[in-house]
Amino acid sequence: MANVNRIKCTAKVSPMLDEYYASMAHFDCVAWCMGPSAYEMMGAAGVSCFQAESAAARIAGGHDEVPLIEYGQARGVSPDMCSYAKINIGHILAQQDGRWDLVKERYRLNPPNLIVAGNICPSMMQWAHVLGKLFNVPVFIIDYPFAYDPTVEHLRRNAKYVRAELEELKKFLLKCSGKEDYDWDKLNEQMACCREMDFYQHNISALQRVVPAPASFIDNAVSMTPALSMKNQKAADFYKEFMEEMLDRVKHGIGSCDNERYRIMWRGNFPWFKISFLSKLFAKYDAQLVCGEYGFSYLDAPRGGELIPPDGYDLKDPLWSIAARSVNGTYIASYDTKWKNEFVGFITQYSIDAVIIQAPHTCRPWTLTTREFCQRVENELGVPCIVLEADHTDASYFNDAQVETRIKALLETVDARREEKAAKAREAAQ
Amino acid sequence: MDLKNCTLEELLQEFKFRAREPAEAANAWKAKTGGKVIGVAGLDVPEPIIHAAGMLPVVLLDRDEAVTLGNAHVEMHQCGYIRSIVDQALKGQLEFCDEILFHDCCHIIRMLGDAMHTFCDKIKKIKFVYFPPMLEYKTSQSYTLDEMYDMRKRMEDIAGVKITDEALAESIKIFNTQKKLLIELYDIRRSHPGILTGVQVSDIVAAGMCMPKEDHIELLRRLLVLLEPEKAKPVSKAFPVVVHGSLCERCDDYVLNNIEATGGVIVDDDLYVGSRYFITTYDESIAPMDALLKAYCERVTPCPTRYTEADPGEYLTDLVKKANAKGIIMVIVKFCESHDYFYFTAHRYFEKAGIPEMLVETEHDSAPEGQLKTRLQGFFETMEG
Repeated sequence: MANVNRIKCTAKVSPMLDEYYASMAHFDCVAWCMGPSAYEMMGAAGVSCFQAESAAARIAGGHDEVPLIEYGQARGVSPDMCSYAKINIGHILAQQDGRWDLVKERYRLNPPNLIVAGNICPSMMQWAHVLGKLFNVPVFIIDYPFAYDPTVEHLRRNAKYVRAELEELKKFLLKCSGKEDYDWDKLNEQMACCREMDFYQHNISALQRVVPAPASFIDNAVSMTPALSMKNQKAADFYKEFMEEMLDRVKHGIGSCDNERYRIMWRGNFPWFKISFLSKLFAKYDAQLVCGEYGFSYLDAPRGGELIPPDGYDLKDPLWSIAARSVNGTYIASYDTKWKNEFVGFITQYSIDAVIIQAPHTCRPWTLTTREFCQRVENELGVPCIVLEADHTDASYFNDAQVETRIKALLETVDARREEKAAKAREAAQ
Repeated sequence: MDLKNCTLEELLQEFKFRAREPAEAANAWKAKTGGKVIGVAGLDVPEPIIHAAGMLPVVLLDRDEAVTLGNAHVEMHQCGYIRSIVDQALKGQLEFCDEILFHDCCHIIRMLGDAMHTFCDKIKKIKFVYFPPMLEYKTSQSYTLDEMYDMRKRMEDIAGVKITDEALAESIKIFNTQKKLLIELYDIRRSHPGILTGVQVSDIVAAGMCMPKEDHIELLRRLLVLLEPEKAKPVSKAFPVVVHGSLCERCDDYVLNNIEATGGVIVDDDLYVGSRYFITTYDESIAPMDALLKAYCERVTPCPTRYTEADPGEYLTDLVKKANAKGIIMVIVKFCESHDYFYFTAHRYFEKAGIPEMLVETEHDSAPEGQLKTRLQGFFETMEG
């Protein structure tokens, strides 16, 4: 079997997160957050943040999710809820009931002082409401309006609205932390870190276009939490190291896959509990996951164009920068924008041979329209595509053998297309 | 129909027909008036704006027939409402709509509306309105008002008329008349348990969501007259319950019928096709656009797709008490994820408040009557004991 040649510094992610979560104990005020929750703004108000989906993904990655889901479901959590929320709520109920046997020490949490959620799917707002009631703490929702009209005028209006919300968030954070003044210098420091981090991530993303790809998209995926919720200098330094490792590989012609024969685009979130299985499976068939939108949509945020500078940051007005970037996010984009940004852009720029769309059973927004996208990829771009029905963190919806059969069939289709193309070329040459 | 001389039974049949065949009624209205029909998906769309433009708003409901064509495009683990709407669209059953207006009442509905043009050429036009869900935030209120003005402009463009404030105020009055008559009907239902069945009430409300309001008002007025002699009859001694749920569609007939067949009587409801449609009235003492905004932001019923700090269990507990009910049946449409969270919180509230409660999950293509009957019998027996 081929080697899984992972980017070495990804081994630092887990200890880095352990350290980050441990550091929350030094804060008097901790926010639990779900969805895009303007994490950049927390530190300047003396608030530390804990990202609930990332924590759930981490628990699932360690195969520790099942007892928490089971416990939650036995206490009234619906099996149809987002599995991130199922793990998180099950986790809380287990802790509140003193069921420490179900919660490993490294996952144990202190209760939050406040909840912040970004309204980007049917779960976030209600999940936050549930947590607010379970902990009896205040909740703040940041709404990101549906960008049904992709014109700059409409996006500008949305950005103004989100900016006004962020002003309110600032007041809310100060009220919760008991601090009198908002530390704008600290916010700008953090924004500068974000800008630096984006620079590295843009390069990382661009380097994936090289054949053979120096990193697997799985390396990117398992490394996304520092960028999404830590957003500090440590996170920026990590992505610098990641980028340098890729540059070194490009220089020496080293690919993440020993013998890269298939370049795959992945759409949707990942089955975190099967990352290792998928990684080995792709390596077994000399296939490489090269790119995808999940977790990286913020990199394309400046595509609002006239709203913010090309690098996405106007440090003179950090709240406007956060707002303008957020209204371009993929979650709230229209179907046509998603098609253009999430499919056409990647498939045409990354020499993609096949596309896998993950349709997570407990994430209905990700699932809806996957069939239409799949057909469109095939019909309009001539690239074979499958919809893989699985889940992000609920192991109930993944069968190893079935997944392998489908991926194998997809790669065989690529072979058949190549053969067909070669035959046509031979015919033309005669 | 001959409204002056019709019997209660005939009138109830008329409500039923209007409720179950909205396309027929809408097409008849179009032929008569030459007006346009706007299909509305989502409860919070300010229908008076459409009405004031001389058009007919028709709330799109699920259809009581198996989903077939729709399954090719929408997964079985999406809610029945979504699947039914796609199915109806593909079968050409929504062709009577000159435009469909999707309110972002849940992310799934908006995504569906947004993608439907790629696989369905039988829908003429699809448009959106976005009302932020945080009802108590000042920032959302200002965005919502902008969006309502935008919708008003778009409706003017479609209808080719200018919507004056006077016309809008007049439309609001008509909607309020309908709402107040329905509120009166529900008062009678509370004070005379069993005077109408759950399905009959559902048909009465559903008809009002589809047909011209003015016509519905006439039917309601006649209904209230015909109910007068019924009030003298003995009231039902069955267990009084409130039914909540089915938040985007009709509560299935088999659920309502079985509640009544197993020892319960529905004395009030918090159903989409029920009190949720009319319980929030418009304030006629303020400017009409402000009245629409106020109705949205100060809606009476809690909704899992909107955000307020209140515990949903509190409102429902009050409803149970006001109706002198002894328990509540919570009807959740399978895969309505927002409702699952809402239920989780409400259930804990009921436990603390000592309100007997039973959860019923419904699926579009399945009606497990036997199982439901047994569970309901058990529930009522427990209440009796």
